[in-house]
Amino acid sequence: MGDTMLEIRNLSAGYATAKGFVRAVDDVSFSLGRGEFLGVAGESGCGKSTLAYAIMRLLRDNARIESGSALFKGRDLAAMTAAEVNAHRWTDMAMVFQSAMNALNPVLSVGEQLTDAVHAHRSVSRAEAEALAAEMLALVDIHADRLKSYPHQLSGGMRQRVMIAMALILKPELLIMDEPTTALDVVVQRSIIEKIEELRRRLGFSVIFITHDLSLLVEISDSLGIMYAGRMVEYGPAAELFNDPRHPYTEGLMNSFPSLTGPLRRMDGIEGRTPDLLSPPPGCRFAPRCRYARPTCSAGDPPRLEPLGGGRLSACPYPRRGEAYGCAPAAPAAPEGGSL
Amino acid sequence: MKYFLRKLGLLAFTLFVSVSLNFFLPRMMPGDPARALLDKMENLQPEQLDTIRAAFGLDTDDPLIVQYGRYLRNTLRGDLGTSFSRFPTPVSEVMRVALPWSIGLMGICTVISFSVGTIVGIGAAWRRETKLASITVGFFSFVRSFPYFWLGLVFIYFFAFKARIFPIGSAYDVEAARGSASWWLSVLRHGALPAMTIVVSSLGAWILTMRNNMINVLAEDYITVAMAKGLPLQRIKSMYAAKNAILPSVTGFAMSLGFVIGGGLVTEMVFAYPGIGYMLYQAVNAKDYPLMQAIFLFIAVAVLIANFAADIAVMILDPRVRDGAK
Repeated sequence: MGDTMLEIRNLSAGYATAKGFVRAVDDVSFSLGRGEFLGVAGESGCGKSTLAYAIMRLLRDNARIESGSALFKGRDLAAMTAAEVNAHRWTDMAMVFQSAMNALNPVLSVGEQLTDAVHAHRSVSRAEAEALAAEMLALVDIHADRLKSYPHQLSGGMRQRVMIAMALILKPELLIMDEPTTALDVVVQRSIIEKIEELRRRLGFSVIFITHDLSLLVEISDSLGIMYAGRMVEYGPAAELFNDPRHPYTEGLMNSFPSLTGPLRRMDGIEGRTPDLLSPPPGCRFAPRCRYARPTCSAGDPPRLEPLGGGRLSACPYPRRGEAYGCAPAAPAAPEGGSL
Repeated sequence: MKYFLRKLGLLAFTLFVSVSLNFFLPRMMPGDPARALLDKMENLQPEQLDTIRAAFGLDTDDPLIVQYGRYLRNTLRGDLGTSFSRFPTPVSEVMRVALPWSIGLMGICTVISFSVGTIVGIGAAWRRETKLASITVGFFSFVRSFPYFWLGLVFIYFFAFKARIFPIGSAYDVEAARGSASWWLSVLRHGALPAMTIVVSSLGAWILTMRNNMINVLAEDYITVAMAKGLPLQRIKSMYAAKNAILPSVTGFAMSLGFVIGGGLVTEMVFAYPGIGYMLYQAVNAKDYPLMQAIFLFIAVAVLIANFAADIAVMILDPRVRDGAK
């Protein structure tokens, strides 16, 4: 993967609410190489979107980065002034949002929305900007005629491809995608993901792909990060992490989705709910829902990611499969013939 | 284009319906307007009655359908009958004199109020954390709750009666030569207080509407995208936020332009301003049916045309409407 493009160090970010500070991203660290594809997965509310917005410096209103740093090619994004952020954003890194319908301005044509990003950062003529916009649309298999179209005249998949073209128009080195396929049907999801993969090979940018659907990530990711309740609980090369999860939460998450190619299994899901981030439980935040939890899991500071060798990290102190987590599954939680 | 033609067709149809209703409604009411008028003139000989009936065009022995045809023909020609209370002035002449005052006062005030209110609303939403924004919004929410005739009376008391800066009523100085510079100046002086009343009392609604729309739009993802793209703030404010936020206001604006003709009733009464509203008030008092009917017709037509204008304006601003998607 070569040199490091983005290094996140102990990043914490969250929202000031009437009831207190909600730390949606809590002490997260990881690094991303040039051209690397990192998938970040977790349930709704685990902080994965906040992480994306924090890296993009797009947190709004009551949200802020609390501590830590995000080094993009050595420059700390968290410490940049607003003007520096404005110059850096979209030229160095760009973002694709969850719902392309909401992310595109309904009263401006596709062409205007593509070219205004160009004009904001480069002094080019109108014709040059339009040529670039047409070229980007071609890259995502949309005919240049569509420059005159308005968002509502496009299908959901086309809109998302326009959004991708818009994000790539200034040739950024990093593309952050926040659930880019969640609002689309499976067939379109597949075509979008193949498109992203093709463009990444051709243009060589790095990707942080955020989703709640772990199964989407396995085939295209180089690395996977699993988030739970604001913390990164497992991190490692995608295939190994998927085949041999070393955190009970990862295991549970994988059991929540059917595998398209593997044998049919019982879908177990995970019992219980995500914790309230206003007052997270002591110790490991997953402990209250973890079938392998021991009394010591629910005490002290949350466990940190520890290296397991081979580029793998886990925040579980007992990072072994099955009984080897340190104890047998607690009797009441174990389903009959449980496959966990 | 299809949308435009459809709206044009709808306009033609509704115009026809309202013109027809304007004919049939009074005739469905119990009582005879002619009788009511004639009862006021006591001790008339039957021959005199007939003469008056003929003079006012009340000799209604023809079948309804014939009358209706005649009415349609006359209305299209601009012949709206003869005013009872201003006999023998034709109604169209009364309207011709009163209309410019209403349109001048109410029309200009509505345009000013909408423009200023919308711009202030955009600013109040864009910089909503500032003290100035909250003070402005708070002040106008308060003023907005005053009834405007009451506001008018307060203005008259302070600026016309006590301070004597502005005249108490009427629309111009009768002693100045019509059309001269001093006459125009007097028009401005007479119009100032009613204009202030209308603008001050209606401004708040525009500010609040635009501000609330704008705040909703500012929470949209495409605003975040525009920020992320590093667009100039001015462009985000106008082309991304305001252009979306103004759509509901445009409809409201066109609607209120439609009420310009009749909507000034109370203001015009308070200031004895010789517009259509004041004319309607006098027509009702004098049971001047042809005049009332004509005023109602004008109000209905104005509202319909304003509605049409609103549809067209929204069509130009919103591509979704153009395609009939929404």
